[in-house]
Amino acid sequence: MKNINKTFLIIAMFFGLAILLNFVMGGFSFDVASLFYAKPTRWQGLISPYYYAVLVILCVNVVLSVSLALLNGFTGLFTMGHAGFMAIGAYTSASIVTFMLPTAPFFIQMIVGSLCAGTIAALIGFLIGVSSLRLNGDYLGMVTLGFSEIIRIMLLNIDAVGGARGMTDIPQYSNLGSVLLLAVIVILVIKRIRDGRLGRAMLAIKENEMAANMMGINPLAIKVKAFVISSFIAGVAGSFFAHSEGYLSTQTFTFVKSFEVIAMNVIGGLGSLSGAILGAGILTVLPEALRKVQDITGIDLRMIIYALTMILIMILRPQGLMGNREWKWLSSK
Amino acid sequence: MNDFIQHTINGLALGSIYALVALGYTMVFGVLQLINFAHGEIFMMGAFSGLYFARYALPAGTQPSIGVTLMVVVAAMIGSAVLGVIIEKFAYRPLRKAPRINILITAIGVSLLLQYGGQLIFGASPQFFPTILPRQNIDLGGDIFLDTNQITIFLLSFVLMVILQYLVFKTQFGRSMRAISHSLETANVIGINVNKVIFITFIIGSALAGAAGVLYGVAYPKIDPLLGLLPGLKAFIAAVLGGIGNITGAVIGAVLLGLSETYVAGYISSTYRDALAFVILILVLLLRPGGILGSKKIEKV
Repeated sequence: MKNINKTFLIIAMFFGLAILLNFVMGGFSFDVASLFYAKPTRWQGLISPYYYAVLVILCVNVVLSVSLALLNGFTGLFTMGHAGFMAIGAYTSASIVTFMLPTAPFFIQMIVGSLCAGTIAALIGFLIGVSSLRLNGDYLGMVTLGFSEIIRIMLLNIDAVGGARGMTDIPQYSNLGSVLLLAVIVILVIKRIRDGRLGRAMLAIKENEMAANMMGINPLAIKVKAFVISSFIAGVAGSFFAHSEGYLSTQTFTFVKSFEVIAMNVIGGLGSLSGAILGAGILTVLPEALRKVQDITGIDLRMIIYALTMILIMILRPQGLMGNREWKWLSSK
Repeated sequence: MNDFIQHTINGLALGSIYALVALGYTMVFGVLQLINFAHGEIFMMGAFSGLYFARYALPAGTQPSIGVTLMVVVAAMIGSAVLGVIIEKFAYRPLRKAPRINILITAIGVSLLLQYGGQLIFGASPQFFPTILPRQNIDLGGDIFLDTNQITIFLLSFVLMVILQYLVFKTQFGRSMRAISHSLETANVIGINVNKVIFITFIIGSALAGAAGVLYGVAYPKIDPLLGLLPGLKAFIAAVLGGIGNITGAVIGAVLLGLSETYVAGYISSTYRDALAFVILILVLLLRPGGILGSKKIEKV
């Protein structure tokens, strides 16, 4: 009961803040909704377009990282194909909105687009999960990597969604408000799953699958559930990504993207929800913050420092920055 | 039919290059249970050390010949081996006792570091690999051609594989390596210097990748710092196809992959060429996770 109160409190606080912000920016108009689904102009008086873009990517990455934490951190399933689900979501939503609902109001486009994106991603996640979840460890990682690359190459060969040119002119209705709201909702949902019956079953499977089985948990069912939920969220994240960028290219969804999301989890600390958020924050902000370094040195050391940081964190702090701990508002007590 | 023979020759050449890279993957996996994602970048660095050796270390006006090719290959092998050893010592050794996913992330980090480091040092735009081998097409009759590059690739990779076979199955080092791949703890207990064997494994695996890099540069003479990404991944798939950890399997898997890629590109469409490798990966892992020559593992309580 206490948990529910806190959850609602956070959502209410978020809405309160958004409304306040809207008043400050919009000169006391009551059009709150425009913060969440209008074109980004509403936000751009407040922060520069560059910070705006970074913050949008940050929120999308937090959603991806947290949804992967459900698989990687809580259920102990090592998958390397998260970019594939994101790609499915992004392309599904972009095609549905562009080809079928081009004139519908923003609100309808967003709801239908993201729900379809999530559903299709979850469906494919279900199929992949059912066929590959009897594999364990690295092998599961390799199969999911393979599936994700096949998805990408198939998208690359569909001419209707732009093929190698990329998909352009996607309606840009998603903005910082809506991705932020999405991130908050996803974090809270995953937290509630983790603290509930399903989450405990997942943790049991991670610790010892056989023992969990003996206790009456059906490991395959739980794993498939984790897979479906995680790919649903990744699909929705892809949808929001597509509609805030307005442009999609299959190059975004290579296995490098999947590795990036895994790295977010591991750097923050596998098994820690706060860690997944922190890791997403660090790996998104670090390359951007390092642009300043490039101004000083004149050569692009940015990605090199980024890679070195990854290696050093793994060597110096193998359990990740958070380890098993959680921030107070995300802990299960 | 002539088409088929021509595709087969090209596929075998591609497969031989994959095989040299796949051997490094499979050997490292054998001793460390680690998918060394930086291996593709070691292959790339091999190609670049060959390029720079040929460009700067050889006296001006050197004519392409077999001797020059051998020198470039040896230089690239040394360059790659040094790089592989550095990576092992500074990135993987401190993590010997850490969970496997940490080593995997480190490998990805090393791979990124080498890609971007390569772009910084060599420049991001492709460079032309110098001609180090006199190129001649040999007409086998009926529109089938075999060029001297391909012959060199066949011969060189064959010789290297024979040497490797000798090292692994006939020497003390090879025996220690095979012991470690059975059980690292037991090998340690019976007095095998595990770190030294892993060290040598990295030297051999990286040297093979370096040789493959030069052969790749000879066959496809446009190289850039991101060159290692896809061939690296495909060599890894070849290793899985043959049964990861199994040396003969890696060669068989690589040749099969090279052949099927060339057939798909030749008879169906070259855009699906890259997808094929992943389809093979999934089919193998779902139907026969151990690979062609692999053994089944049984999980005990």
